[in-house]
Amino acid sequence: MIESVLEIKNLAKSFDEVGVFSGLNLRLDGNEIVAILGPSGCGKSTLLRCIVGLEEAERGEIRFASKRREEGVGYLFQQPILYPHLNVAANIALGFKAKPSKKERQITIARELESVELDGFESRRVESLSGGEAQRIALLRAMLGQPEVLLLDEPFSALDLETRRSITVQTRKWLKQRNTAAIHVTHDPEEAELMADRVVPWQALFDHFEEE
Amino acid sequence: MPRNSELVGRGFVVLSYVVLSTLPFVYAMARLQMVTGQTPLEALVNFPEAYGAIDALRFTLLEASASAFLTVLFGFPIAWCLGRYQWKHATMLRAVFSVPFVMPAIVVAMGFLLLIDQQSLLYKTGLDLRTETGVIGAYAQRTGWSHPGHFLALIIAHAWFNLSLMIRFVEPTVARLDPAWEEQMSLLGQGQSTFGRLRHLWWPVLGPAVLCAASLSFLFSFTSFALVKWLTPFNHTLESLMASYGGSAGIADYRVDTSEIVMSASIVQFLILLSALYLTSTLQRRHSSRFALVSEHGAQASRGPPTFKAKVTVYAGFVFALAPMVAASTASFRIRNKTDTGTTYTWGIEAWNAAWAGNLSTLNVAEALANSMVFALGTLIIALPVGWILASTIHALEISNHHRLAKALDVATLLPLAISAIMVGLGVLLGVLKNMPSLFQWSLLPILPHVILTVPFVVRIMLPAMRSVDPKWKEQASVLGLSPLRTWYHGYFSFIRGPAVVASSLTLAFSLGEFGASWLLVRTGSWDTLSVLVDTLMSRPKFDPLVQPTAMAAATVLMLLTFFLFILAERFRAEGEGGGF
Amino acid sequence: MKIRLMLLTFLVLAAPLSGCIESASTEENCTVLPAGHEDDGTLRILTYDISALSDEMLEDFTTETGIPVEMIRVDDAGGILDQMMLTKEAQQADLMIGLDNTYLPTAIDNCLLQPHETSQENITSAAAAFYDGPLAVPFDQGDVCLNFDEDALAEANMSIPTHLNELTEEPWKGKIAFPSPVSSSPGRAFLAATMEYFSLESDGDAMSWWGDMIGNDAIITTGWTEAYETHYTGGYGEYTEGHIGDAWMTVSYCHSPGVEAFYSGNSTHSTSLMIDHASFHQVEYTGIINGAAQINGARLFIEYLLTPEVNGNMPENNLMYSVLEGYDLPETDGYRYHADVPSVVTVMDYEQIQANMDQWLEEWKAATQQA
Repeated sequence: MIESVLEIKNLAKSFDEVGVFSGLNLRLDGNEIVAILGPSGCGKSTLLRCIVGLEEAERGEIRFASKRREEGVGYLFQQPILYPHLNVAANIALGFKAKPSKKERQITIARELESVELDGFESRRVESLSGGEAQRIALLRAMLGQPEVLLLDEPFSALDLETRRSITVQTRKWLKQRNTAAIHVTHDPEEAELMADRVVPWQALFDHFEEE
Repeated sequence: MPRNSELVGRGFVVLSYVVLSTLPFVYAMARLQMVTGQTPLEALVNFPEAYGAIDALRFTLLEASASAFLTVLFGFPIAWCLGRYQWKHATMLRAVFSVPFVMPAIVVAMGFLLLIDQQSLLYKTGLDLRTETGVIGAYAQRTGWSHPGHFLALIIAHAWFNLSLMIRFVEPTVARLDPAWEEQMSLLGQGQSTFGRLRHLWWPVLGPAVLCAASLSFLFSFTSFALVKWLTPFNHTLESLMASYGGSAGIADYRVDTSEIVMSASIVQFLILLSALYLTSTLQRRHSSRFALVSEHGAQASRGPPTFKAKVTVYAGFVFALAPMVAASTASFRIRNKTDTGTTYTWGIEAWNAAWAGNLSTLNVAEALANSMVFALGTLIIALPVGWILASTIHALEISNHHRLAKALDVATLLPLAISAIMVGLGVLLGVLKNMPSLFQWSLLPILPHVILTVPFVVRIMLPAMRSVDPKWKEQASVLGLSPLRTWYHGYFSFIRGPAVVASSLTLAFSLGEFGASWLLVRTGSWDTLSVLVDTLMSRPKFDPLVQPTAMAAATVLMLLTFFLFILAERFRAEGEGGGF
Repeated sequence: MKIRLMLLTFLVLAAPLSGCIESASTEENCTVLPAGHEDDGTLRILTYDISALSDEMLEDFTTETGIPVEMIRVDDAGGILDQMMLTKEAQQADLMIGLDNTYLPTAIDNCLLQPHETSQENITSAAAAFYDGPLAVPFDQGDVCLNFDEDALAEANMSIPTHLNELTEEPWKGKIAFPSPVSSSPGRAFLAATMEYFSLESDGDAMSWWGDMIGNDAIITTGWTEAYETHYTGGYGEYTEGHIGDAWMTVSYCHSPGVEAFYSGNSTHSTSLMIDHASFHQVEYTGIINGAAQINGARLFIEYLLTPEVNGNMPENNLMYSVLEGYDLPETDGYRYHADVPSVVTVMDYEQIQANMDQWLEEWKAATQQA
């Protein structure tokens, strides 16, 4: 039996007494990548924000396998939030949990950039990056903390079709290399298929507890 | 590509202003050089020998630094809370916080003296800042510091004056910050701790704004004179030292020692202030660009209602901002009545009647008010266009990559703030006397120093606004086929209009507070403005119990006028404008 | 546009920077200068805001003579002299009011005044003694005295000093405020008194007394107002804002206690220190400035200032004695009663002041800076 990395039971969330969702259940096993497919505005982002702690759910449970929530979860925003007053390397460096030595930091960042085919981008300014490049760097940064679970909130929706496809494929490969579980929310079925081991329609989260 | 005529016009205005604002200083320096027989360098070297000079320098540096620090301490929490939450009466709050900046120093001094005197709340809590008994006195004894209470009162008054700087710079930045920036940071390794967030997010975003406000605060506290005279009578700043000797400086073979003091002190002051100005200009540039980055990403995110803590902070600040002015106004109704049986106080409008009738001065409040408005409007008519042209010239130089020239001009427009009022007064007097003495009969002459001193503020407000206008607005307008005038209006002016209104109200308010007329040694009575009237009344011996309340009545009229000007201006200021001046 | 043109003209003309002032000449060599400004019929008076010249008074003058009046204000008597010196080449005012006998010789030495050609009648000998030449007319007078707070002394169980040296002792440490003689006319007058006082003693040295006073933490202020209002406990200062009240004694006029009583329903706890020669007879002058334009108006105003209606009211309007024979302080509310009259006051003559004042100021500065 594969250990579940994340377990959500009976989660409910509303804003100003307007219900967003209620009775939500989800389980994430091992290093699986799950795509949650649902239309815009159904509450997918809110779910992710609850998981990562940016919102408080009214009812229900969210349990992580081993580490505390802060250490165990990474998050990728819809728009890549790269700080424009810092260059690429400095932005990435924000992801380090423990601060490494300068040399180590340089080596690590160079290696990471290489792994997403952005070698030599260290001193580039944020404004000069394309959407795809920016999102890849944000991804790198999120992974630097070695999370158990990565949450992706429709991070590729702003990109063009070609780029979206290639970056989705690349991200999946990359997550698998690092043995990281992920929840990817999207409204695009093709993207869901490309990315995930398992595609879960939004409604399915409310039927019963998912079993292996 | 600008037309030739536009270049010539610009060049003329820029050159005129730079020459006009520095010429008096040059004149005065030349005269002092002749009278003292020293070169400026020698005067600088001889500075330590001038009587009271080193003490004055030490005191000035100390109080200016302490004042800047206190401004940040008081102003930052207020600015933060204002920017962070949605406030119902934001316009009025901002107006109230802006008014201190333009209050005439003598009114402020009186207000603060009222707040620390023996009938005050503060005194009743045991804090005697004026006669320095109790805790303050004990502290003075123990540390050997001669007047800590006066010093504290002074820096608090300075912080009060400069509150609006912190708010104008910091609040818009806080307001425009995209919440996602904060959320993202809290999810990153380095942003887990409060210190990490401070270091990687808050300091980069807000640091330039805070430093900019702090350095301007340092500058204004450094050149403060009236507050020093009233609140710390045992100490001199460089400016007050020069003021006490300035009247007899520049006369050959007559009290040459005063000329020496003024010459040395003004050079030292100029050098220190020039550095501070250069720093400020750099910081403001950095703040402008940082703010642009921040606001680009942050649409006007919806902010929640203020928390209890935020309310306490802002309302406490509100009370602090109003307190001296309320104290001064209240004092206008309080008349002392001393008889052989004792002293009582009555409340009444006798002082207001006296002020209205002009019994105790050469003209009454209404006449003085009219004069004030005439000078203020006259100042506005000149200062606004001149400042606008200067700012747009600096901006044009920046975008055409003449950065060094832009920087030089930027600093040059700030120069009047670095030059001692005494020197300018002397220079204007000498220059006008020598070349156009009939100019003295020109009743509108005081407008000249008002203009010289308000133009820097117009530039400070207009320049960031100009920098932040995205060229795409103009591009879009022209692509739609609009006429050049409409393109200018929709693509440019609409974004500058708000700051222009703010600059106007500031110019009017400064002129009302009579920033520059004290320079002119020749003061013709029938052209007195409200703040000169207040000053005159306050300098009279106050045997007659009506004198002081009458002065406060005149001061109240001035305060109310200024306050309403600012409320009006705030209505035009767009939400979250990064104007900061 | 006009303003710009004027500014441009100003700029163009302002180019040459050199400026010289003729060095001071003796009064024998003084010539009457041409007007420094255009005469537009208005009389311009240079003064330190003497309250005697009320709005009403000025209006009356204008009604009578048809000459409008403009006041040009400076901060104190020293300011009047400074202003006249500074604008020597192009005087902006016609009439000066307020230089006293410690300043007048300097003004005359520097050819700052011209003959007024009015006749002075009915002037007391005390007022006329110092100077009765053609260049200035006295308009008020008074004796400069040390004032002290009777109540404070009584409470501290201290006796009233009978010699100035007592003020350098421990009980008076930090308790006396002096307006600086460099900037204040009462201060200057008192300095002159101390010169006389100590010169009458066998081993008296005024400057070492001043040095001792500084050593005894005497408070030196720029002007009379600060000393009297902010520091002195005996006067109205305690009711004004910013009062510190650390001085039991200050320099003011011997009749100041009378003024206090006048405004306080015949009560005061301030009184003058009556020590022979420790007070100075001050006379304040008016005169036509050399380089004036509206000379006729100036003359008329001098005459107006010396009329009984105006000059007789000096005690109420300007808080000083009249210079006219037969006019004294009013009895109302104890003005006369509480005003002290010193038995022996220092009276210096013109030549003494002319020869020594500058020197005394220099010595005073040196003595008080080194202490």
